[in-house]
Amino acid sequence: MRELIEAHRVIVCTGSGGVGKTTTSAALGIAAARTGKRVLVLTIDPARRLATTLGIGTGAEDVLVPGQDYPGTLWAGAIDPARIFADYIERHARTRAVADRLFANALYRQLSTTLSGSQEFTSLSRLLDAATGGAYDLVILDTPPTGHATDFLLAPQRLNAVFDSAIVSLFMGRTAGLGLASAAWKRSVKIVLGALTFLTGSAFVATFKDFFAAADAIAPDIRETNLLAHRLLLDPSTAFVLISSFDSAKIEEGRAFRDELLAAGYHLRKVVVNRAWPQWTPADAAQRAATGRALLESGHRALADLHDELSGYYMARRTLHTGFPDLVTIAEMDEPVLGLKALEGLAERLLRSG
Amino acid sequence: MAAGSFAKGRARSAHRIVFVTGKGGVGKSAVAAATALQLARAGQRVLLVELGSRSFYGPLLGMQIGAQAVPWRAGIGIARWDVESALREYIGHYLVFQAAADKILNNAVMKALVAAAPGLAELAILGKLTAPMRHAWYRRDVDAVVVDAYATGHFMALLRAPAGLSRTVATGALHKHTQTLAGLLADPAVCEYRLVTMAEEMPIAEACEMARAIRGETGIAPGLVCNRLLALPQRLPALASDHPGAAFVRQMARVARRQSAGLAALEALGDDRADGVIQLPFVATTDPIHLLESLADALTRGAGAGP
Repeated sequence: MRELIEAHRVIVCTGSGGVGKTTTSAALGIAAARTGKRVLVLTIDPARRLATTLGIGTGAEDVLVPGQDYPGTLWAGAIDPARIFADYIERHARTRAVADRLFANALYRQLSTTLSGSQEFTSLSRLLDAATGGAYDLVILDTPPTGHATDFLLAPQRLNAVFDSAIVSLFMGRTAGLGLASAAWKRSVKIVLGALTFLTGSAFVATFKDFFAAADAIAPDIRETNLLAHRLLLDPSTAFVLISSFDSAKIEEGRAFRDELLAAGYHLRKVVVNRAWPQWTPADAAQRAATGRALLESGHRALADLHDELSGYYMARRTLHTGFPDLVTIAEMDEPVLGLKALEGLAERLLRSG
Repeated sequence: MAAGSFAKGRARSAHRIVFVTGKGGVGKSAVAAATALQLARAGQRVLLVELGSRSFYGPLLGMQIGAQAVPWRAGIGIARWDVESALREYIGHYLVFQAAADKILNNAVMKALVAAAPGLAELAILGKLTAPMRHAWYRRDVDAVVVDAYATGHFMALLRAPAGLSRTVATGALHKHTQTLAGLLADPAVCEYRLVTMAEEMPIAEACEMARAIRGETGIAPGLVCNRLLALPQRLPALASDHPGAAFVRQMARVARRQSAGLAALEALGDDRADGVIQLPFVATTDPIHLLESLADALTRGAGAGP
């Protein structure tokens, strides 16, 4: 883990929902600060207690994590998609009028947050700023808790698809310059718009078209940002860390994700399996047997049986082949990992894990 | 809308819908499959539906799951519905020339629409789910559809999509549909909500919030399922610190406290939950079938029984 922290400028923590990504990202941040780095941890939608621990409030600025005492410094920031999107538009709109037209569009608020890929886009935009700003040695990005780990990588493409000039033209009824058989496309456009109008009414379609017209002005910037972010993600100084848990579905998913990452050229450096086994499980079979015997001897049959069943299960899981070369397994902590002390404990485990 | 107003239009192939939701990582998909097993054991014909572009049940059960239902057990078929196909079906229904529809509604356009139109994707899924209730000609010969639905935030977006879209799109055929869909989601004769959680601080807090949100949105209180519970003895001994089992028993005592606190919080939901909380066991197996059958046993035993 030290090498990982030493050798990279960006660490992207990916994984599906419910595996402890945000917690692990924060702990990695502490680990890096312990090795003397100036670190920023960017989180998405942290639990309230974790946000409090990290000192994240409602502001847009990065905050110095309170109560820290490390050789380096640890900063934290929360990614608020609506705000970042608005900031982005402010910065990239050529004129005030362009920005205002977007903000005034009735669909804007809904679209900017529910727009597929917008959460990921805003994370990447924030990452780009932080990684190229020069204030930090290392930026750790926690990714949105989507159902599947790969959603994060596909998001920019989806967003690009929305702002794709051909698609925009289609909805705006423009076909000139697309280099396609004009008559056929014009007919298609008429039919799709006709269907949309029937389904949604002409007022909605007008608002919809207006959104695209307004967004059209900013589309090149969105594509440019996506491109720069894509390059940053591909750079060897960007490490992907897959956070997973030890159940068969997540392991399968992890394998699929690893394959996709490698195929696309990203650098998957580590797989962290959280809650792999409880802290009380003994390391070897002999100890296990001794514990079971001791419980029986002191007359606690039910507990002896439960111990045998559970430790047998965790032992079996520990030998489940995962096929990951750089695998780190973390025991289940006895208490929820929410305060700074608990996070420091996790950071210590990560540093020791190699 | 009164439940009876749907009776007239209800086709012979209308069915109940059981939505299974909960925080990511609590075992929602396993509970959905176990629910399908539970209903099939009671003699019902069940369609188990998973949503999204990737299959969970396929790799788990060693099957190829597609858009067409694949038989799994006697009385259970499994299908995976993805949003773009559902939307294409939905829009295609309104286009006059079906052949043209398929050509125009290619993936790029569908992806853009799905990405851009708020709630349209959710509406397509809800439309597909409720089609037998709304069109006499739409056949789905099952008694129940169990939906392995999205996790918390995304599921609430699904429930809220009809009302949300109804406000944004105030006219047109879609507007009428959004009202019909909202009505169906709020009809206890049609829909049931199963909210899965685990006895840990964050999942319990999220489940309580979600139960209130579901009831607030639909008027229907969800059934609560607490998963992965350990069957612990009533009283745990205090062992001497040099006893080899001391660490284990201390941890079990912590788990027992956490479990009873969690269950108490769920019980305290009162009207925001349907009936009693169903307790599901932690099943110490790496065999998925064994897991699902054990969960189905516990679901059949129902609320009031321990895990």
